[in-house]
Amino acid sequence: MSAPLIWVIMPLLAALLVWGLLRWPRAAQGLAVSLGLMLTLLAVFLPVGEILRVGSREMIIEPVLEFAGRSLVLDNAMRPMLVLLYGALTFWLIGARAARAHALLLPFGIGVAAMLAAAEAVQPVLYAGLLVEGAVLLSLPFLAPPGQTAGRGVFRFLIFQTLGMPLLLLGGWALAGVAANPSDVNLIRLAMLFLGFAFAFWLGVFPFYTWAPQLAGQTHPYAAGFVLLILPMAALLMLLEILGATGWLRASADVHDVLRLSGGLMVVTAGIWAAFQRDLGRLFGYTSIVQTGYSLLALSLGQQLGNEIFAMMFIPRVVSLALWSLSAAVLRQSAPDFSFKSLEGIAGRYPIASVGLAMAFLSLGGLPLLAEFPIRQVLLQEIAADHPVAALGVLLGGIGLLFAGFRFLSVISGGNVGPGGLRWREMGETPGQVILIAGGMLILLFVGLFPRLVFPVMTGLLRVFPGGP
Amino acid sequence: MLADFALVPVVLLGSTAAFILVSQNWRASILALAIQYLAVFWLTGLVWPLGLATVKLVAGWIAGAVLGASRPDVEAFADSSPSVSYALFRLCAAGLMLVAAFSLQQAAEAVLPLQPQVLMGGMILIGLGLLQLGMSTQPLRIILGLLSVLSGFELVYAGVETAILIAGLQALVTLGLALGGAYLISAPAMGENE
Repeated sequence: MSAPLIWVIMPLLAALLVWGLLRWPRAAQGLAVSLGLMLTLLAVFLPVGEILRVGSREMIIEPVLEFAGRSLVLDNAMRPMLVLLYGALTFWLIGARAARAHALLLPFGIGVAAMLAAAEAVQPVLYAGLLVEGAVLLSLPFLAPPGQTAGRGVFRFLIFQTLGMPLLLLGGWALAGVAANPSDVNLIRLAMLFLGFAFAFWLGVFPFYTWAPQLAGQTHPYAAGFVLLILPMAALLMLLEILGATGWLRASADVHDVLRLSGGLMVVTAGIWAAFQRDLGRLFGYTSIVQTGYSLLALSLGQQLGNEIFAMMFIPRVVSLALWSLSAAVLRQSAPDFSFKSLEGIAGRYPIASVGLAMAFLSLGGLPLLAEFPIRQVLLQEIAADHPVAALGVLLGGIGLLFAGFRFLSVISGGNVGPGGLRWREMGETPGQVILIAGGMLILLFVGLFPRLVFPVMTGLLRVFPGGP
Repeated sequence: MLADFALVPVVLLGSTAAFILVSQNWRASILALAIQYLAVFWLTGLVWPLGLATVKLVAGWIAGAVLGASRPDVEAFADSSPSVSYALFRLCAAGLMLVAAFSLQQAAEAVLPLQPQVLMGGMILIGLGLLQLGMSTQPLRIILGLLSVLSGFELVYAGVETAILIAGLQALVTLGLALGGAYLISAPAMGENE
């Protein structure tokens, strides 16, 4: 038994089983959630490469699976990454039925997570591009389910994500060349160029993020939310892995400058454009881009603290984006589209979903007392210490996002906040939706109020990468 | 033998990619794609063993067959209001891209150690494929554009790396992209139970 068999091959096979069960939606969801939960718990508790005693028998979970001369490696250090990946997947699968997402999200979502786990595990890293492309292709059926026309956003998503794959292959070739001949300046330039563009396409670095608002505006919010969370998350972890494994790249001041410029531009431009949006879906797209920008800014610090900030951002992001997606999907049930005009005064009919959405949005915007605030504040302080102009720009982007959040609050409340302002009617949410949304809100509040209890858990993620602490 | 006529596939690549850019007939475009993969096979055969290069030809032809089997409707490929002037505009854009590829070749050769024809073929496909992606909103055109860009990158990559596993995985991606494209083209007509 090997770890890649458990976290890559088994989920892929189980996804086929879930697909076969789609005629029985409850059974399919039950199996999918159980599988996600089991994989997450195994990642938490099952040691890899150590002797395990089960009764009188002894066994070892091998960390390596060889395939055609290449290896998939999932050792103990990779377990926090697996917890994050499969934890996020489970979080999404739990709410899939409540959000009325298409049933194909269950099997294909598991397939996407398994492909991304394989992409993180594969050695040498250049093969990761092909596996990420597999994940992108597997996400098409739930982004454009049968019976629906795929919007331009889906095609743009496919274009930009696909363009990253060959560039990573070429970047991987150049990296291998630099390892063999470290003084070859030409290869060093090529490696930086190819890898830079590969990650720019995958992460939606300015100006390559036009697909994100389009995708979020045209597809089911729950499916779009899953893709906008899990693909950039995997790409960010891969970037950290490459930076950690390549000493000359990590030590290069140019790389940190490029990361800061890319992240800063993403936060500033997407934050400002978010402030002027009149469509909730597009707003979601811009918000997710801002989050990726913050992660790049954290990496640009180039210190242990920067890496820790980078890792600690993931938990609040997973919860906030899941809460947003679920709440938005609930609101979408009665609204013809996501334009602000259609959502006017919707808080009267869907109070819990509206509050959940507003809370998720304000948390992502960095409002005090909510989950993202403590870590955002530290990040801003660290950037301001060395690059005050960059910090000012980032602050501007953050303000744009918060402005959009308050504007959205005024839209859903119909501009009437306070006693007697809103006319409360019968709640439109089902009990299941209320429980899930309330759970998400409580987690956001808990993380915001007790950050010291939650954030240090995530720094274990950095053990995956040689350059980490 | 293949090397003696290495300019032929380069010309084929340029003309088929330009044809796909202006064509309003999806069947003819898929045929052009098949010829394009033949040219890619030819150029790959200059740097890889022929048996390995055949993988690209087979994968490309199957991809074309998969896309053809999806039986795209008119909206999936043709322009909403096709005109001679628009076709001319696209041809001019393709011409500019070809000129750019020729003028950049020397600079590219200085940094990428490839055979000139292979590099030129790759650059033509990448350039015209990107042009197709930038100028199209129809699903089939976008998938054909993506396949062209990927073929171009595969040509460049074939010049620097010969790995059987990579060749196999690239073929899988080509097939996956064609399957994904065929799905996106057919999805609107599918029932919920399909």
